[in-house]
Order: sequence, then C-alpha cells, then structure tokens
Amino acid sequence: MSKSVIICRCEDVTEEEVIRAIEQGARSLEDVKKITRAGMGYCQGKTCRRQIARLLAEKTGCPIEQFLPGSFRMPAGPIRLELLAGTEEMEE
Amino acid sequence: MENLYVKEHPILAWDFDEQLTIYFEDRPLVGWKGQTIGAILLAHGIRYYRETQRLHEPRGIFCGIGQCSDCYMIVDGQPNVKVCTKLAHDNMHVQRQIGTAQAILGPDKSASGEDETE
Amino acid sequence: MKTYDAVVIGAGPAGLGAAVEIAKAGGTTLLIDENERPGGQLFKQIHKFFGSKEHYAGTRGYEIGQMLLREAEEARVDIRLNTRVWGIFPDRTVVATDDNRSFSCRGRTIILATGASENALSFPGSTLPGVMTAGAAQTVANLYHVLPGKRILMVGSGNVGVIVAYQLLQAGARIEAVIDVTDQVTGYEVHARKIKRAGVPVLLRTTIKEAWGDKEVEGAILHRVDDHFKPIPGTEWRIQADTICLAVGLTPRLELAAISGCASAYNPVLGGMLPLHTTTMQTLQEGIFVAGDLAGIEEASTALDEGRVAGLQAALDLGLGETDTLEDLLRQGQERLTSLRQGPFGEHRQRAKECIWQLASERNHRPASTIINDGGKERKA
Repeated sequence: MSKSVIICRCEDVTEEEVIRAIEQGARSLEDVKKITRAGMGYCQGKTCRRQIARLLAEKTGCPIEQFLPGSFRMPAGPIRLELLAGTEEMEE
Repeated sequence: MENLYVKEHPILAWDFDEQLTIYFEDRPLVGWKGQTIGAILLAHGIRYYRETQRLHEPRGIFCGIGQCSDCYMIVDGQPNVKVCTKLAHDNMHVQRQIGTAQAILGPDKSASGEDETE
Repeated sequence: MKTYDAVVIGAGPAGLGAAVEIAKAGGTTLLIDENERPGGQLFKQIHKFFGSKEHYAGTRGYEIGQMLLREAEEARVDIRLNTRVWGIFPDRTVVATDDNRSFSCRGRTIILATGASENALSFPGSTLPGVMTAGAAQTVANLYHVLPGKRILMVGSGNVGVIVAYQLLQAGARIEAVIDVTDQVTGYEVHARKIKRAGVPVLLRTTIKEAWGDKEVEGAILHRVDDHFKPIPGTEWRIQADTICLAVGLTPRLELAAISGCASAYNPVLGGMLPLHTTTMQTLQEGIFVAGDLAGIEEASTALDEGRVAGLQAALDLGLGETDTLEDLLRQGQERLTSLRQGPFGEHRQRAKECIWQLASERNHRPASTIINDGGKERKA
C-alpha cells in the first residue's frame, strides 16, 4: 500500500505528481490534466478538481477562484457511445 | 454468519420484505429487494470492490452517490457498474473488477457484449 | 421536438418545490432525477426538522419528501427517475439517459436543482476501502438499513458530521471519535450534545495523518494541530477503526449549470463556485433558473423555498396562471427565505447571498421577468 497521497482517485495521480506539474509550469486545471491525467478519469474531475485548484492556489499564490470552475463539456457523466449516438427525440 | 443488517432501530422500521440472493465471486449473499448491491456487500463485510489500473490498489465505496468511480464492479459480466446505486436483483453475479473495462472485455468486444470483429 | 414549459433537473426539495409550483400554475413539467427515488437528501434525514410551521417543524425529513412527492404527482408532473441529464444545448434542448436509451426534449425554461456533492479529503491511505463520505455512510444506514462498518471515525464536526455520527449511533455503530481541525464543534448544538451524551469523544484541533490497513481500513493515525492548522510533531497517536467518514464540506454540483453557459462566482460561505443568480433565482442565461444547494449550500428548508420561488418566477415569465396570485406567493417565498437566513447561522448566508444577487444584477443587463425566447418565437411574459 503506497504511502503517497492520491489526489485523482480515478487515475491514481499523486499529490507529488500534481505539485511537480505546477512546478513545471502548469497554471490551470487543464494544464495539470494534460500533464498528469488528473481529471481525465470516469468522474471527470468532480472529486479532484477542488483539491487541484487548492494546490494551484497554494503554489502560485493566486486566489483559488482564478482556477475554478475549470472547463465542463458534454457529456456530463460517462455514457456509452452507442447510447449517445442513438439519442432520439422524446415521443410527443 | 454475522452480518451488518440493522433490523432494530429507534426510528426506522425494517421495510424490506422480499429476500434475494446475489453471488460475490460464487459466494451466495442474502439481501433484500430494494437494496443496492453495495449495501448487501457491505452488510456481509465485503468492502474491496476493484483494483485500480495504474497502481493496482484496492477501492471500495467512497462517494456513495454514483459520482466517483471507486465502486465499479463486474455485474453479470458487465464491467463499470456502480454498485453504490445499482439495485440488486435475485441471482446477480458480482465480481471484483481488476483494471479497466476494456482490459476485462478485451479489444474485440463492445460494452454490450457484441463481437466487433464480426 | 417535445417541449415542456419547464424541465426541472433534480428531484430533491428544490426541484420538487419548483415542479409543483409550475405545474399548479398550469405549466407542463418534466422532473428528472438520476436516483431510483426522488426526494434528494430528504429521504436520508430521519431526524425531526426544526423551524416554523411552514417549514414542517417537527416532521422528519423523509416524511416531508413523501408529502412533496404526492403534491407533484397530484399536480401531474411527469417524473423520470434513474435518468441522468448529460447535456443542455443553447436552445434549452436537454439530453438524458437511463442507461438503456438516450432521449432529447426541450424546456421553455430549465430549473437546475442538482444539489451538492461532498468534498474529498486526501491523506495517505485515503483510498483504502472503508474510507467514505459521511453521506455514503448515511445512505447505507438510513436507506438500506446496513451498518457501513462497526468502528467509525468521523472526520469533521459540522452539521453533516454530527448528524451522521448520531444516526450511525442509532443504527448501532460504535463511533470511535469525531474529530475537527478547528477549536470548536461547528455543527448544530442539538446533535453535538446528543453525541457527547452518548460518550463519543469529540477531539478538537485534531486531524487525520494517515489511514492504515492492508486491503481495508484497520485504523488511523491522528495528530494535533496548532492555531494555523499545522500538525504538531510528536502528537501522533493510533486509533482502531474499520470505517473513516469524511464530513469536510459540500460543494455545489455545477456541471450542468456550467455546460449550459451559466456564469458562476466564488463564495466560500456558500461552498465555493456557484451559478450567479438573482433574488428570483434567475441565472444569467435566459430561461435557466437554479435553486437549492446548487445555488449555495444551505438547508432543506431554504432549498424548498428557493425551488418554489424559481418555479413561480418561471411560471410568471411564461405567462402562466394568475399574475397577482403568483407574485404574492413569490413574495411570501422570499420572505420565508429571509426569515430562514437569520440568527448566528443564517446571517452569514444572507450576506453571502446578497453578494451573489448583487453580482448577478450588475452583470445582467436585461431586467428580470422579460421575454423568453421560444426558439424564434418571442413570448412576452
């Protein structure tokens, strides 16, 4: 059992890795996501977003609201491609 | 065998009346209609539901509302089922999910079980 | 495309309140919820609510949920459960799935009542099975009558922490301790007293250093913190526990509001980022309203009244019902909300809400209650 602190539970990304990304120049949730995959998992960053924003705020000295809410794109929540492609209008 | 069902409670009456059986890796577990798979597993002290892809670590119930992905299990052959919100049915077969859905299904199968090489 | 006067997303107290008001005013209403039963947080609440008569004082949460549901059914609200909205398009087309099929429909208005989610806390071992949110433990105990574990450590002494700790005691669990990083219990005194009377240690200025266990939680290492919340070296000690519940705050579930383009603002008193809205619950996106914890973390009673206000304003915007009657009811709803936001707990929320309303009206160049753009056909409210 690793003793590291896991920030992104879906992708197993540690706090160390997030901090390293910020030290390498990550300045947004998107940046951190692209470097570490944190936020790319099934929960779409819902669980780790706030914590990553707090780390960004701490390390950069900028207020946390600068890094929030981050970007949200459809679909909200995982959906099988075959369902998405087969979306039908509700019957009248 | 001891379980964690709360039959006596100062406020809540036990309101389940139809018993059912689910199987966790071939082990039969008694539960009730109206309960989730996760609740039944917890009642029997089973809390390790999947192993993560990257660090191979155990996960169980975390958020309880279907928002995180910790409680994904294979249910009747279908991976990525959130057992915290999925209601149990009689005869369901539940397995620990090791890794991702694709790793389990293999490259030639889709999530609905259809063979994509056809 | 099937078009409803209102599509309400989330069937907790806010969504139910909104749907009932629009339907009673004569609007066609679709109410969608991702859960297998409506009521949101209400069905997990087995304690008696306090407050005034209009706020169902003395009634248990789940009974209030049942009453609201009956009202919605009688008002012929179209209710779809086990259904998750996965997108909202600029013309207010809503797409949703029940995992068997995906469908689309439109709302002349949309009411977002998606509530809140619990915050995660990360520490070594926080991913071990047995570490869960307080809400997860509450659901398992109160809805499904199962103990999530036998020896429980509660992290956080806010309302959720003390209420859930007490409910787990009622279900027969042993609460090893309730810990809080600050120097006071921040939850309601009523519940805090009950836990203390039951002999549960309440440890302040204490936080969790790590959770240990092989494949599941077997215990935790706690340590004390100083005035700046920094751990004091040499103060660690181990406790045994098989379950660690995290009650460290709630955050509005902003996803659909953000996807539909609603501007948001940060307010720590209200839980973080939330959609900007006016005193009549309108966002800066035409035809989209918010209500309940999504509009700022408060309580079930404020959620219900915000839902009613949103529903009434939506009905007014659509030209439904009797204007005078609806405006009266709306004003009464706003008065109830003001009375709920008083006292030591409420004042902060009132001031926070005022900031949000102010920001919303500054950025909103349209006067409220004007024209709903109905896919090309303008309808004057």
